[in-house]
Amino acid sequence: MLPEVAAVHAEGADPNTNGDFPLGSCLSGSVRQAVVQDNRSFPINSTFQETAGGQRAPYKAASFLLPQCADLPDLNEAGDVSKAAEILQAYLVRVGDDGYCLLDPNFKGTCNPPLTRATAYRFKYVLVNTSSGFVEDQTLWSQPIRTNQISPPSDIDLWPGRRSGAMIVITSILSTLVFFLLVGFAAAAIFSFASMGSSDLEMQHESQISQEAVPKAQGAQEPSYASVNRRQSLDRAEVYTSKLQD
Amino acid sequence: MAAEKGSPGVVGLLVLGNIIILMSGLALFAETVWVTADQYRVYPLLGVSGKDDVFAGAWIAIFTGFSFFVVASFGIGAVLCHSRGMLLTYLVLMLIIYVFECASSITSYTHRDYMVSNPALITKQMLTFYNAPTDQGQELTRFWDRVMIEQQCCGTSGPLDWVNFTSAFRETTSEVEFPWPPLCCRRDANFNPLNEEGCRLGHRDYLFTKGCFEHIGHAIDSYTWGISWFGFAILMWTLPVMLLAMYYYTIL
Repeated sequence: MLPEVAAVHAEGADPNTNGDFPLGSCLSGSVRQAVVQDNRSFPINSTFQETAGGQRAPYKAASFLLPQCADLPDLNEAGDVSKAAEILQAYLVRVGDDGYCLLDPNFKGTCNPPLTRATAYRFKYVLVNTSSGFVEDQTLWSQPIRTNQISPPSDIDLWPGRRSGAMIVITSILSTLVFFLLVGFAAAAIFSFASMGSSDLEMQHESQISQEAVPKAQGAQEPSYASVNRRQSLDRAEVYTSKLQD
Repeated sequence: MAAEKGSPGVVGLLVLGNIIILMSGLALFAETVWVTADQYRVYPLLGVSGKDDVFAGAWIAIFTGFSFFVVASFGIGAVLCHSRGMLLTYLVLMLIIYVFECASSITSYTHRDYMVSNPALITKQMLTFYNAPTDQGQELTRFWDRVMIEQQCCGTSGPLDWVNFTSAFRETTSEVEFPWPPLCCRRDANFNPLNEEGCRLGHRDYLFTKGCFEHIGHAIDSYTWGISWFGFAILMWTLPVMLLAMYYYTIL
């Protein structure tokens, strides 16, 4: 029986120390030596805790039996609900899948705790002969895969950025319209007050005339007309006389 | 005197203008009642962050819409009675309503900008309040649970919102357990997740990959369109009618 081991090596746990140098040094530290010591080497057997989460050396993340490669399901059919469980079972090795093994003091076996954030990790598969305990074959280390930097929600910038054009249009035009209306209202008010003042004068004039007319109306109608006519004729006579004098 | 009281053309225009104002005032009233009824049920989203003045705008517009209806009817009476006093009352009331309606329009649109000009605010409050043990947290959790199921979406911009940021949800559920709320999982007719493992992995056939921001933005936008742009249109129409009424007042 040949179990296969997925080994994980964490590099650059400090997010600032990424780059070629630490990766290269780790390569020479683990893989090349393993290659030089022919394929009779022992597999990586250190645990997550011993290597400080892979910072000091690669650690063994998971082990599983060699899958039967003859009738593997098609990975493209993973969308099919009836086949999904089987496909995931066959293909999926999830690094960092066990959230509880670190908390359990009695835990025995391969602990596969969650990976640290903002860290580059490299992975490889090692094929181990369980009866002899030697490595039979192994893949190269993968390219570094970087976990995300996670940030608190308070880091989200809430500045809405530029105001939308519609908001500017609405605000500016409506402010202007209100201004126009107030000016128009003030103008209308002033104009109507002014015209009301002049019409008041007319009203007074009319009332004076009527007051003059009232006492005359109290008497008999005909004599008053007669007197008015007489006065008019007298006035005319005066005018005529003055013209004559000229 | 009768010839002095404005040409029948001005009176006709004023009556027509006021009829349109009273009808659109009634429409605005009905429309903003629809907004405050909150058919999309997005109020918790705005209420939690204190940016609920989109709804304040709607409440003001309910008032102004009905006032437009009443005052424009009164204005028709004033014009037909040739009464200076009534016309002056009409103008003053209309001016007050005009200012309020402007305020409603501007407030509503400004706060719409805060909410949906970009997803930052909604993302932040989702991360802060989803699954938080406070009253606001419970309210917002209910909101997001409902929206994610109904709209088949996850997070604000997508499931990665839950992964790229720490959150109240992350404090109670570790990423190994579930990277995003389980309600992001696609479900069958019996409301069971199609495949929980596939959902945890983020397979697109088992997880809603679309963000909910589009739906929320659409809801708030349609409210704002109703309040702000319709109000704006009414105000644009009311302006010439009022100016004409002022002219009529001076010649009356």
